[in-house]
Amino acid sequence: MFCRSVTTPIVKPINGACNLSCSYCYTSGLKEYAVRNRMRPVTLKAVIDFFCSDQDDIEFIWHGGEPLLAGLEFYREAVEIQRTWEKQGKKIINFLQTNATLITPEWVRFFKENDFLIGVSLDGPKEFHDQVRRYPTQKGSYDEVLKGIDLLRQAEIFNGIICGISTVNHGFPKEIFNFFLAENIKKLKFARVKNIGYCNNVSSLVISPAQYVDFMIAIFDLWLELDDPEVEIRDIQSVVSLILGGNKCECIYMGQCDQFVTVYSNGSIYGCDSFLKTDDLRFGSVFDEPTAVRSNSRLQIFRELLEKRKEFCRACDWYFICKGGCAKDCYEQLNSVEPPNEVCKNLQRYFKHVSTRIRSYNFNQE
Amino acid sequence: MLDSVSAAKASSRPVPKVLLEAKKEATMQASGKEKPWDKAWDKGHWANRK
Repeated sequence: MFCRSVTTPIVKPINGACNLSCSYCYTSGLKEYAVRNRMRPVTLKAVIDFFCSDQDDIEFIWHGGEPLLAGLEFYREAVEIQRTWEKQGKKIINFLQTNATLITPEWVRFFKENDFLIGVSLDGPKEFHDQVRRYPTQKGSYDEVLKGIDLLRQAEIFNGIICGISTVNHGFPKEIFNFFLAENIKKLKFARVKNIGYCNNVSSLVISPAQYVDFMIAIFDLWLELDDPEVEIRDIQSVVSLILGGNKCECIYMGQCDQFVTVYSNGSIYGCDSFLKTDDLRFGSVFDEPTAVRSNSRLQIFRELLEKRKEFCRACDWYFICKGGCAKDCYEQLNSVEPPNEVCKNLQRYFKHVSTRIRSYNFNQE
Repeated sequence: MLDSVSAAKASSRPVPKVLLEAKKEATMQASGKEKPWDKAWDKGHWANRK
């Protein structure tokens, strides 16, 4: 089975700084730090050189906070540095996840010219979105997000939505699904709101494993009933692909959580940003030698932990889908080896539902 | 791994298009017929798996 062996950097040029103040923001604890420490040009060059020097295919995920706050010049410079590596045969893709409120025609031109793939965060209809994704003034951001999406769509560089699922909207899968269809938004991913630990008030917005699975099952049934191949729902199609013997999957089903690293504005390299920025997951810096980072003892310990988790889960019938699951979402502590029963029980319920529906059709007669 | 999806209990209802597409893609992946670039990279909506 194919597995990407490259390291995918999630780059946070302004750390958690953002023009919004979403209720569940998991990076807001990094905001103050970020304002004083925007990524410097020398660090940007080191980031790109670090990941391009020993990989042939590199995907940069520009993230935040709100990554557009780094400014257009920052990304122009990034592309210039990348060009020198592309001339040496490296294949580079840039993906940027934005709240879309700061998108202008100038940004769109730049993204279009430089083949950036743009994902937008939108939590469904205005009445849900505006409850949680708000400006510091408490004004909802929905109207500006939709304007940003329209600009991206006109330029044909809109690559879909990540919809946060929280206690605010998890009970309305049909409304959310129909909303996206009505808005002609057909590329979706649903992500549970995470309680990473930077904020104190997020717990009330985090849904349980059972609520998450109830939501996903409802979305799966709606997707199957609609039966429109243009509607792509990454998290669902990942499960479907794996059940059908394929391997098209989201990171949560890859079993390779060590593949994703976060690069903060000072160039420090940590584990996936789903984790709290903790010393246990500090693997080094872009100013270090790539070989030194790849052999970092903390990274080795993390990899050993992932292996232990997989070993524990291997006997499960559904291991071929979840492979131990998201290293953050499926475990109580960073050093936990066994996932909580509630997590497994509900994921198994989800996989079984999807599998049973698929098996109810006879593929041989087509 | 579970048994093949073409299990005996399957009904005679037509298979939804979304599942047929997924099956076709899964078969391509399993057979290694994808082009190297397609294999190593996802594009568009699938580019960012995180």
